[in-house]
Amino acid sequence: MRTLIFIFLFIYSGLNSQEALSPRIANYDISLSLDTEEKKINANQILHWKNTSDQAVDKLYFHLYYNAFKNTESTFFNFRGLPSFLSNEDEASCPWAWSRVSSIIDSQGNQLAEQMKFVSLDDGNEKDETVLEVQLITPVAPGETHSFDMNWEAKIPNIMPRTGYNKDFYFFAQWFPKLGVYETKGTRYAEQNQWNCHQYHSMGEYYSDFGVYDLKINVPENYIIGASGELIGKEIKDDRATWHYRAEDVIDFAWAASPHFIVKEDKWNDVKLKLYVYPNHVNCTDRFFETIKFTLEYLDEYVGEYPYKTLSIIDPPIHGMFTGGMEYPTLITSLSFCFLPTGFKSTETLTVHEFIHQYFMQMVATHEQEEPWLDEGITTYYEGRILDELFEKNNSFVNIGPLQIGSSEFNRGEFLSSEAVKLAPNTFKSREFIHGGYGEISYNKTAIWLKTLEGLIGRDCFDQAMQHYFNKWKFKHPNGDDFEEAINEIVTQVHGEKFGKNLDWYFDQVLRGTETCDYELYNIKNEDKPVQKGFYNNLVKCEVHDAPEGEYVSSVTLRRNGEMKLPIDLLVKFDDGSEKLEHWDGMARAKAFKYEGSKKIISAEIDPKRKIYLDTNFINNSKSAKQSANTNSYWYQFLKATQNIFQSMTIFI
Amino acid sequence: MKVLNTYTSAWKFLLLNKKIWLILFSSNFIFALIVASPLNAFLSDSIGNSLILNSSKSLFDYSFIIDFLNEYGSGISGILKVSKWILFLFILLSIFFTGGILESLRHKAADFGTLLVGGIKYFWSLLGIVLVFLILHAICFLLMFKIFESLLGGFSPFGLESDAVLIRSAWIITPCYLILCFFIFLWSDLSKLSLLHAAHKNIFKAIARGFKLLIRKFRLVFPFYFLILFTFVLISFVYHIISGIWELPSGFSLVFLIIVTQIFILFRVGIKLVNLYGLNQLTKEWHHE
Repeated sequence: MRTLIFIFLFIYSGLNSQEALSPRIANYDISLSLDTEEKKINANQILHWKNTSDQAVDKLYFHLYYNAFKNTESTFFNFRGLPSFLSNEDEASCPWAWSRVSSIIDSQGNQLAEQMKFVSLDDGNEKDETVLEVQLITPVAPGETHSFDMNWEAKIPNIMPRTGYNKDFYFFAQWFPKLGVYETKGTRYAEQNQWNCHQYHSMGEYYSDFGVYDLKINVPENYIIGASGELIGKEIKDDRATWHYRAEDVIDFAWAASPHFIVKEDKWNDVKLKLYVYPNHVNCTDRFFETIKFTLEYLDEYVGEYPYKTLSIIDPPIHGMFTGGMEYPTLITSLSFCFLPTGFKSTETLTVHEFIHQYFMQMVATHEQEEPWLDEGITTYYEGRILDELFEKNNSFVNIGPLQIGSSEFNRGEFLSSEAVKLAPNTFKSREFIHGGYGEISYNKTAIWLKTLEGLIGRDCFDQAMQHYFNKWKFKHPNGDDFEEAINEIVTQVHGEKFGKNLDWYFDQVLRGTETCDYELYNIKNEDKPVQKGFYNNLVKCEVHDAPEGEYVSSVTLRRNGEMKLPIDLLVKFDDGSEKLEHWDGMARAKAFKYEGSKKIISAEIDPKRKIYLDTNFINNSKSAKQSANTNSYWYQFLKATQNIFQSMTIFI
Repeated sequence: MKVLNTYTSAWKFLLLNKKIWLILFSSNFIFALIVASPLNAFLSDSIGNSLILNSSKSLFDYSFIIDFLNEYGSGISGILKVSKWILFLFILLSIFFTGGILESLRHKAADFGTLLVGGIKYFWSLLGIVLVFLILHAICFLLMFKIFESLLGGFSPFGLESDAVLIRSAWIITPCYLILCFFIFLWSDLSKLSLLHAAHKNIFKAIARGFKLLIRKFRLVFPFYFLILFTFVLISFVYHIISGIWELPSGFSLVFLIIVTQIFILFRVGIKLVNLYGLNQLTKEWHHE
């Protein structure tokens, strides 16, 4: 009998306790019921929280995200302003929402509801109710795990950013009372043990601890649920269905519901891929799956393993587009816009982008509100790189006839064409971008300087550094310093002191600075070697030495127009077909390279391999002695367009 | 058969009156050249020596365009500002020439003097007709826009049941709009011809007569107008094929394409003239009834 029990326990433990990938600090068991008539959720939630610090903790802080949509006075709307669809709403419809915890009982059976209050530690906005402080009666001792049994309900918002419902489409993201992160001393920037639980700001999303989420979602029977994690089972009772989902080692849980979802399935290695799509978007299925499989393969090779067994893609209907383009653990939302030409690759772009977030901010759990560049920037860099590989680098974003735009170059263009190029450093918190530039700087600028870094240190070294960063920090909470340190470790290992003791000089400029980079090839000169005149062999008689025929003094002058200083390459081509690759540390304002001999310079180009993607003007990077015939081609196109426009206008005459 | 005969005789008439054809083409070329010339010098000075143009695979090089607009955009916007005024002058001149064309139809001759006399004679009436029909086009566009909006139930994506509604509505509304435009253009041309045959210069009477003409002679003018449209589409298609052979023409290919473009514009001008000649041929009896 004992042997049997032993065998049973052995098999049971093997089945159920898959080795934890993460510290599993905050674990949730949630049973909820979705009321599609009242647009409400009623839930019971048991939180199991482990105090990993060396101090007793006597307070808990919860995010109540839905209170951001309670009224116009929340910090969320104070910053963002009301979207037009809310300001135009008719009085009868009420899109507003709220979240209310009615009961919270600790492991000792103490009711803590009386101990709760809203706090606004970021901006002191008393009207903001997105952070709930709970004073504990029994503190959680170091190393202990306490459970908190909570009852809460929420009114679901109608068409609010990222979450809510519209018609019978529901998307739940940042939706339940979620515990903040208790950062132990040394975690990220914490100088002491402390809670990190920001109010819900309109930019920057969430930051949480890893854990196991076990959810039982009760919905009308005809609704189909797509959610984070794996579907464990489904039970139907009295026209209602309860879907049991479980997600392990994740920092959040999101789900979608609709009676119209069609579920398409595919596989990549052991990862089960599910696409939840509306009937008229089924024709886009291959676009989603092919893109996601390529991305999984690519990241697996160049960054690290995707350790989860599932990935769900929600393709919201057009009336649910407010939830499109979002990332949650093992679940992403895209937007297929199937009515647009397939050459407009928004579906692929969003799918790739949101999936990369599984690595950068889901597994490597950085703080998006405090350091948005660490997830959005790195993700945008890989988005460009992956799409440029999946398609071609000059048409990976748009490929419609002659209109061709690459993904990386589009990101560069978005940044350089914006008015926010110098507006803020990359180190700004999301909410500090009060004068704009959040997207351009956090997303695009970071992507550009990462591509420049790749160019400087080489792709192999860059990949090695990113793999090191990922492996060192997956399932942890790194900050920007940790990123820099990880890169520095590998760069010094691979290149020694080629780039100095570390890359701080680079990070200081691109991350903490706001300056731009522009190197210009100022001029090329080819002059006959001058006649030598003066006193040479004596001090009495002037001499004149004719220059040998066919000898030239040639030069290339470079200028640094921007404040950013980066080492650059210069390729000089001569009329005899020879080439010379020069290097310049790029520190001075100008630099000339001179050559004497029988050959003339025909052209010269700064950064011929286009490593310095940060350069704001590629046009002035090169010069040739001859004018390009292509200016005529551009001129002809303009003339042609003008003639045709003029003639077309006569249609009205 | 009558339509086809008219179509061929209108081309013949055009070939016999090449002067007007060439004058109209020349005005297009000269005005476009005035707009485009500063750009040539500007491009040469600003980017003429850069190697980036040699490495571009196609004319639409996004990075090049972004950098160019960021760095030299102010120069381009200056050229575009001036070009708006030149376009305005060209339109006025085209109205003037249309008067000349009408006069040449009356005299069945097309010398420069006829063009000048007709231009002076009909300028203000034609300007009035152009304005009235522009307003009509705007009303038609707004009407279709409103119908499109009501088919969708509003433009907010949040109100749409699915994007299929958007596509379905567009499929319904676009052909309707094009057909309506087709009629308005035809009506506008017939109104101009009414002006020619009427003893007065009252534009509203001419427009009313144009409408009557459109209704009465619909069976004749509609296939003729359709034939004109078909000719335009065919020529445009051939031109598109030829001009698409080289993505970045230079040297011989550039010269060749400039010539091909001029032939295409010449044809566009010719089609416009053939249209007026033909419509006049088809309806002139009615005017004298």
